[in-house]
Amino acid sequence: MGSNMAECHPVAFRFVMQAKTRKDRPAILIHVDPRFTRTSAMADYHVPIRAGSDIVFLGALINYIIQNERYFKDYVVKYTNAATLLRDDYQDAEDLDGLFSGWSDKDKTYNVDSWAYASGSGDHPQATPPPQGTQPGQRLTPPTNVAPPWAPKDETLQDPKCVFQVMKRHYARYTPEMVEQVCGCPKDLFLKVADEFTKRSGRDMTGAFCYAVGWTQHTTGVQMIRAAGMVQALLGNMGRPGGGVLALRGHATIQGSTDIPTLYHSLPGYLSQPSITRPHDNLASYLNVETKQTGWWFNTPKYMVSLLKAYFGDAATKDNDYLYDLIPKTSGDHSHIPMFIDMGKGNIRGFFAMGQNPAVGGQNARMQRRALAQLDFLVVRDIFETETASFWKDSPEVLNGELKPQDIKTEVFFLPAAGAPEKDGSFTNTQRLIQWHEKAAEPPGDARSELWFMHQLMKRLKAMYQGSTNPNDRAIQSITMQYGVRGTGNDEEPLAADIMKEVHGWTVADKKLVAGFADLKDDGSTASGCWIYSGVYTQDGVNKAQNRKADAPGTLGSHQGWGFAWPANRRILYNRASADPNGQPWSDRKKYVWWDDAQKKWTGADVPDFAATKAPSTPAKPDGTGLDAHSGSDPFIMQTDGRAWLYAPAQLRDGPFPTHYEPAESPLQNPMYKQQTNPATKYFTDEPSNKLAQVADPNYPIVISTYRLTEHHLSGTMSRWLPWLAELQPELFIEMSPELALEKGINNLDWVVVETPRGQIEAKALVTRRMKPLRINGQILHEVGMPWHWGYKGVVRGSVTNDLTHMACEPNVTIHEGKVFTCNVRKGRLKA
Amino acid sequence: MPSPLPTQTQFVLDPNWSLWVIIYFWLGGIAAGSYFTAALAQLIGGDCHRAIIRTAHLIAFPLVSICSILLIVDLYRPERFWHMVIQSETYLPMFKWWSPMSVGAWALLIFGAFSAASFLNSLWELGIRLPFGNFMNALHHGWIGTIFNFLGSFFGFFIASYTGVLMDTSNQPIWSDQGFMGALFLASAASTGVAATYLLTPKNVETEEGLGELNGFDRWAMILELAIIVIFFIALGAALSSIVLTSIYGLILVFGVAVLGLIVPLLLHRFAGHARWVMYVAPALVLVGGFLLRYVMVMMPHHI
Amino acid sequence: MANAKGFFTDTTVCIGCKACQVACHQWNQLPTNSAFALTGASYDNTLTLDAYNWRHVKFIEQFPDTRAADAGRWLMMSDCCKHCVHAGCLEVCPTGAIIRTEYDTVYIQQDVCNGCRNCVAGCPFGVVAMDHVSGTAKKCTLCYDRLQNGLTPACAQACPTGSILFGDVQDLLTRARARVDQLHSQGRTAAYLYGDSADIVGGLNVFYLLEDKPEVYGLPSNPRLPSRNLWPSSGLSILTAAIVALGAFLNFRSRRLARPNANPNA
Ligand SMILES: Nc1nc2c(c(=O)[nH]1)N[C@H]1C(S)=C(S)[C@@H](COP(=O)(O)OP(=O)(O)OC[C@H]3O[C@@H](n4cnc5c(=O)[nH]c(N)nc54)[C@H](O)[C@@H]3O)O[C@H]1N2
Ligand SMILES: Nc1nc2c(c(=O)[nH]1)N[C@H]1C(S)=C(S)[C@@H](COP(=O)(O)OP(=O)(O)OC[C@H]3O[C@@H](n4cnc5c(=O)[nH]c(N)nc54)[C@H](O)[C@@H]3O)O[C@H]1N2
Ligand code: SF4
Ligand code: SF4
Ligand code: SF4
Ligand code: SF4
Ligand code: SF4
Ligand SMILES: [Mo]
Repeated sequence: MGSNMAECHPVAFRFVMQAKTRKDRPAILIHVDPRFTRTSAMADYHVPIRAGSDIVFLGALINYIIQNERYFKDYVVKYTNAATLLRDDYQDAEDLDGLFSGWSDKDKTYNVDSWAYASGSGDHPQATPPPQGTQPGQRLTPPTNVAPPWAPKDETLQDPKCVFQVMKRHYARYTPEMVEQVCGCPKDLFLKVADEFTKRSGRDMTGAFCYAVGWTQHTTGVQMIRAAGMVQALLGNMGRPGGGVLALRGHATIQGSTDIPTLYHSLPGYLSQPSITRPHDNLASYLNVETKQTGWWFNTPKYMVSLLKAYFGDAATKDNDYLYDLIPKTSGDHSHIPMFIDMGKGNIRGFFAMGQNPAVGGQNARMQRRALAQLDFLVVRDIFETETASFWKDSPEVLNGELKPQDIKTEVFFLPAAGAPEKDGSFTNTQRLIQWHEKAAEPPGDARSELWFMHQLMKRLKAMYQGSTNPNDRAIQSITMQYGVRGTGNDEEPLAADIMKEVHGWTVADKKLVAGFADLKDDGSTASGCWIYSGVYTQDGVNKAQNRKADAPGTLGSHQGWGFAWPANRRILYNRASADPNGQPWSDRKKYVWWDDAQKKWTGADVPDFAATKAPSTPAKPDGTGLDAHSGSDPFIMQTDGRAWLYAPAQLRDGPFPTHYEPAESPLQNPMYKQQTNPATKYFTDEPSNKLAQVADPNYPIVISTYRLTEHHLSGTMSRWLPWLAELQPELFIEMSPELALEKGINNLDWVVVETPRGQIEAKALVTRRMKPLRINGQILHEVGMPWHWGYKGVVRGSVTNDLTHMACEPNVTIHEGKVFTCNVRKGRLKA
Repeated sequence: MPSPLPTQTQFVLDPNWSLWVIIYFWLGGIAAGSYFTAALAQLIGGDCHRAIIRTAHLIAFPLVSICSILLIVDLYRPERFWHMVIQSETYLPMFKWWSPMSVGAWALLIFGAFSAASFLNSLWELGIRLPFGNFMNALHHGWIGTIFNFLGSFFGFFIASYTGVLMDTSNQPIWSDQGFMGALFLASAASTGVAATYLLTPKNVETEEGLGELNGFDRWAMILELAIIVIFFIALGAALSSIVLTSIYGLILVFGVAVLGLIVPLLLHRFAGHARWVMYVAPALVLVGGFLLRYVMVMMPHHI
Repeated sequence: MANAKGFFTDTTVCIGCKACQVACHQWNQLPTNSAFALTGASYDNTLTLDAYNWRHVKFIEQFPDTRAADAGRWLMMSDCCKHCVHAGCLEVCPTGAIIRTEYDTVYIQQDVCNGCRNCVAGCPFGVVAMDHVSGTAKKCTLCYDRLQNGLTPACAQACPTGSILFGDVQDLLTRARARVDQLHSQGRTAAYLYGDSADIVGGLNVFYLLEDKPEVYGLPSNPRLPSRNLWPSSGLSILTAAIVALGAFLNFRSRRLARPNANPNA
């Protein structure tokens, strides 16, 4: 669901096909997607649903599982928070017509206190933790634990306040009939696939969800994914082979760039970026709020301090807080869209576009190109001159006279970049697998690697600020460059392998590589650039990311010898859940990791995701911290309570249970609640260009979705510039049903103008019977679809689809809603 | 859309045989036709047809020479024309009896030789004394002459028909959907060959009688050709024939080839046989018909 | 041939990604269709095989008029030269440019071909086509150069789903039949092999698993050899020649009878 895997992950899809064609118990493939795609063509069932209605579909699936008792009872009771009791003041969306308790209409946010687990046990030693010292490095009184392992439970699942019962009530109205009404997919088809999927889960069968941006790019994206997580937790499909909710990641190593982030809000290894909006004034207070008392994140200080030691080396000492205050603090949401809105207001002076082409890929791209014109300088490092690099002379705004090159003050620097095969480095893919790649060819001309650029830039900056006494420059002065180089002067380039070693980590004293993150300390004696990658090297310097030994077919293995999967070369997270509470495999067919009573340790086909020698029978230590607070049968060690969260007592801004809201632009009133859209949606109403269509707006009656084609890559720089690839899909098109085409008098291959409140573009009509109008309670609803790979540069060119999209964003991660908005189409062309 | 063509031919690509080939097929037919007519006339009628035979021989060779040039320019790699008869790596002869084009290439060489000999002989008879003339002349007399003419007529027939067989021996629609193209081209070669000879033979008392007989033979050939056209359609079957007949090519075939090129000349001979103009108009029409026939047949598969 | 090499193309696992087309273009350094225009025929970008497209992925949309939500299918099929055991192109080539290789594949020697186009007329599958730049006939070589160096053909190498399986035709046939059985057991009874048996031009070294009539995929159900017409057509020609000769006999003999001892040199 929410992914067109065959088209967008063709190489990964080979494994799906292998599962489908294998001799023993061939897998079945269900594709839930508004369009009939090349994935649907391979599927046993294609289930068409209205874009943005997935939570109704998944909610109905949850309801189906509960009503028909398809859930995996032992698993649900022991491994999820189903039994946990909630507070009396919690109120559900069902009670408040689409809102949960704690909503404040004034500041448009939730106060989430009432979502916490019932404390009920004030007598528990940690219910009110003892005060502690106030020295830096030491911890202050921790914030109360909203989801403690010791929260009261009812393992009969009968208590009306237990998660299971609350969940049951929340989804009671999510019925097959509702699916038919809201998703526009026939009730019988829903029932058929619900049965097919759920009956294939249990002790000796598992099912998986694969999703990508068909889910994420929604104002309810995070909750869609959570809903899938809930289904999998109920069916016992988490932490077991053949199960899981798989995020099919995008760009090559986009996973890597979340682990060692190019993101504004996190530091390497999913540590939070310090922020002025939270009590992060010094390291102690930062660690105090970021460290969880129970569960794995109790180790946060070790990772943070080791990171600071990697950044600042010897300059970082206990007394100067390991130079914590040199880390820039965020002052709010600085993600892509708010950043460009700021840029448009002239608040940003310089911008580096390295491996990004926002002039095409950015939402409301016209606005984003105009924002670029507000910069003083723009640096684009790319393998070709992109639309971003040439916006000042080639963009539609310049061609139609809106912008004049002479008036654009932005100074643009275009620097040729080396492509992946032209440099050493690593890719981290969907399953957290780090694979090393060696340089295969010299980059052409002046093209240089990212490492070269960053290294040369930093060298120059350091020289520039050497003598400075301005405290603002201390970061540049103190940052270390602890790696070997090849070449000299302007050719001097870091050794990628050395940087990987720094990421992996060493003991400061002797620079000896650590064994893994277990060795990292919070006393400044170790340094590691990213704790989760620690272990990619062996202590004697073998780079495991270079390993290429696969297990023989048919053997019970997890390809330990192929690359390195963080953390600790673990292939399936939470794999303790692949064994029952007593540590024995749920079934022989699905055995994976289990407790070996003879050797008194966990063993199996994978690296156990559990304290290696902690017996299944081990009880939780009442006053224990970290993993000691969990029992020997709490598999989800990253969670404070060691359980899979059917109900999210914390961490989400838009509710503990996925709830159906309409997209920001929708032709329908929300059929389920008074609350039309996700209440916490970020609208950026201060950006004038970001106009939205009304609900059921007669001027924009058609639902449109944007997506990819196998033949092209994203903004097209890597495909539209190469004739061999460009010819495969030479022109931008809009896919529409024959019914809509007839209505609009459009023939196949006619030029069509597509319009939204943000802009107009033109494309060729591709009239196809693969597109079918939906029938949403009685009325016909048309959906059209457009790929977004085209722009005004390259061998083949076309309109920028993103000139149509808006910037209303999901509240938790600020992702846009490129997957569903409304438009109108007419036969014809844009007048030049 | 479902194609009415039989499936073994509906998916093939177009070899783009066009004008050069059409002209070659046409002139080749005339050359071959006139040559085997002459040979037959000699074998059967004996020397009393010399004047006519001479004309035929004077026509055949020049046309064949033009033909071989046409064939070469039609190749996309003319400089490699010789690969047809000599293997380019081994320099051994290149011959495939099962490939009409291969056999045809050889046949054309041999026929060229025959027609050349006869051409020289005719010049000799007209008193133009070229080297080997007397030898060539000798070839045309006595028992040697008989054998010579016999073989000559054989190769004549071959050149006349192989082009049609070549088209049948393919996977092209229409061409390979019946087996009568060889026969049809042969009959047409006869009619056009005779027509050309008739046209160019001096009309005087000495030739009058011979021309009369030639006419008779011509009538025979034309009726035969008409018959084969009819059979051709029968062989194609109802479905295909209807496509053909409803196309411009079908119309040309019926009105251009059959009516204008055959029936009209026949009627002219029948009812106005002694009008002087008929002696020129009728054969001219036959020649035009012959051209149209080749044109239609070559173009049809991919232009209907 | 014992060690015949070929492809088993399982169209039921083809995802239409065109990696095979690109791999073929790239390995054989073939030029692109310079038009860069949308064909409008589903996702098909070349429509046919030709001198520059030795691989072609077909897209066949079958969605019934009921427009029912879960009704319809989208067939995809990657096509190339069939390397026929009895090859029409090879049969009619007058120069010997087309040869059968040690792998039982059919290969056009570019230095021999003289551009007569007889092979184009002779291929029942519309595979071989003329390159107007080189003036020679071109088609899939089954990567003869790669085979000679122990490599898998580029297209098969690139195919992510194993829709194009390369190997010894005999092994491929066994795998293919097993796959058909599996599909049948899953209720996909329409599945069958095309070109696996000698009754199609002696068998195709490149054969297919299809789920609809061959014509739907642009394949003839009964492809045949040009030579089928050789003897009939020749025979009819000879017959006609005889009739012509008879005509000549009837017409030319009269005067010889009249003047038996005519003397040409008189
Ligand atoms: N060939 C190729 N591969 C790529 C890329 C590329 O550009 N080209 N890009 C890479 C990147 S960066 C990414 S992020 C991934 C993205 O991979 P995908 O997410 O698979 O790509 P998309 O085509 O954007 O969207 C997938 C599908 O979501 C469907 N969809 C839209 N709205 C909804 C909805 O509300 N519900 C459901 N269930 N489905 C919906 C669309 O119809 C579309 O078929 O692909 C990666 N792989
Ligand atoms: N409407 C709509 N908009 C979308 C999406 C959608 O589904 N719908 N998808 C969104 C998603 S998921 C994504 S990921 C974004 C992607 O949007 P962008 O990231 O802006 O688009 P890309 O084309 O991936 O840009 C990557 C650039 O990096 C260059 N590049 C490649 N290799 C290298 C290298 O080694 N070094 C350097 N310096 N440059 C390199 C490429 O040539 C290319 O120009 O688009 C988003 N935009
Ligand atoms: S483009 Fe690269 S990353 Fe994407 S599927 Fe193909 S091989 Fe994998
Ligand atoms: S498919 Fe056509 S080109 Fe290929 S071998 Fe057979 S006849 Fe020759
Ligand atoms: S075109 Fe070339 S390959 Fe084809 S038949 Fe003629 S000579 Fe042979
Ligand atoms: S075998 Fe080689 S030549 Fe033939 S299609 Fe595949 S890549 Fe192209
Ligand atoms: S590469 Fe394989 S899957 Fe992709 S189109 Fe070609 S045959 Fe189909
Ligand atoms: Mo992405």
